[in-house]
Amino acid sequence: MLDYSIWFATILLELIVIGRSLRGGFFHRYPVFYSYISFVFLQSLARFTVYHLKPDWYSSVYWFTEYVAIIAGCSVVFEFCRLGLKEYPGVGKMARLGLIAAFLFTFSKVLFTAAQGADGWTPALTFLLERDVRFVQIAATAILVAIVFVYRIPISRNLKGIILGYGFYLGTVVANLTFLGWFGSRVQAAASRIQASSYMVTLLVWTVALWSYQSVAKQAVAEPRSYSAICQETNEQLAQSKNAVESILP
Amino acid sequence: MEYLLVSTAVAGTVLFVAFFLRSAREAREVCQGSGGAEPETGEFWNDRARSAAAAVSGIFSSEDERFVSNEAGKQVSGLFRRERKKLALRWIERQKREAAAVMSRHREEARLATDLQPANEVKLFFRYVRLRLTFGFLAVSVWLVGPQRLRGLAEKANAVFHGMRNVKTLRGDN
Repeated sequence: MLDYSIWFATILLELIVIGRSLRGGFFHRYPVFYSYISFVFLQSLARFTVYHLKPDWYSSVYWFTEYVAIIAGCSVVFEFCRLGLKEYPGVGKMARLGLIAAFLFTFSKVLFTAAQGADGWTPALTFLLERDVRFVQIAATAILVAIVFVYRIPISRNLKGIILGYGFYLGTVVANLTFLGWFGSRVQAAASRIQASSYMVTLLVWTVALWSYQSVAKQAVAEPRSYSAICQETNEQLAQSKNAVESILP
Repeated sequence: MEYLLVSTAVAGTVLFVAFFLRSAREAREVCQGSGGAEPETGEFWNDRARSAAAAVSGIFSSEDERFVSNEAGKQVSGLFRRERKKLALRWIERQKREAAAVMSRHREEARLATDLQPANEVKLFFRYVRLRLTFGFLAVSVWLVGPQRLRGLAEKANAVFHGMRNVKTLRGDN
């Protein structure tokens, strides 16, 4: 009963999120994100139908759609990067490099886990592989958020909601899959319930944050200067600071 | 016995950190109270800063301490040392705040630059981290041995380091 309630609630919330964007006319503002939500909505419907009409197929359909959803989920991170850092090309370049580094670093772990499956693919290994792929997304999200914080990039309420909701979901899923990998099918029922609940919380965050479109408040922006001049000035000032410290020591 | 040693070490570390943080907080509060607004980064170059530099070298020199020790009693000497330590910690705190303001201003400007170079940003970040660590190390040293003895301590460390290097060279020669 609880599982059904969560299932229905998530489908309903997905419908509300998509419906609000269409009604408010801001679907095109976040095209990648809303395409992702639409995909997940169709996926939920497909899973629900298969679960009732062809229960034998459910497991295969679940894992196939799950991996497609994970790949599609990467687009949420890129959407955040594209829209959030649109006005800051230099910081955007830095974020892209950070994302590439995160992907390369964690992709090696994914390959390592996948290589273990060459001798025989176990359910635990499937969970661990999903966890590793999700971990790539977490690393990418953490890098983006760190860059936004460090450079104090103003972000709209909509984008904040998107990244907060997705970050929460990723964190819960990774923790959940780690336990599932450790304890196996003993905790599967509880794990799938936790995962579904966390997705419902994410959808609640998205519903609130994306209830209406909100652009970034315009700030008085100074004339951009050459980066080398800024860097030179900062280096000189830090050197002065260093000299001040060194002057008190022999 | 091992448990006793470990718990004593843990308790000692906790006490050390607590007392040090308390001193650092006091210095920060005084700094904020006297400074008011965020320090101007341009202050490095003005005349006031230059004359302050001379005063700072006075805080860290042992001449005044020798004079006070010779002329005054233990109580006055103790009070002098405490006040000097506070002054030195305040100065370190001020330097820390100025370095933070430099970085903050850098980020404000760099985020708008279209030709931002990520590698340079990373280098700058590590340079700043190193500076912050130096300030931290300095603050701990001042808190432990006092500003006057810091110079002597650094000289001793330097001598030991050179001594070790000489021994290494001699061994290498043989």
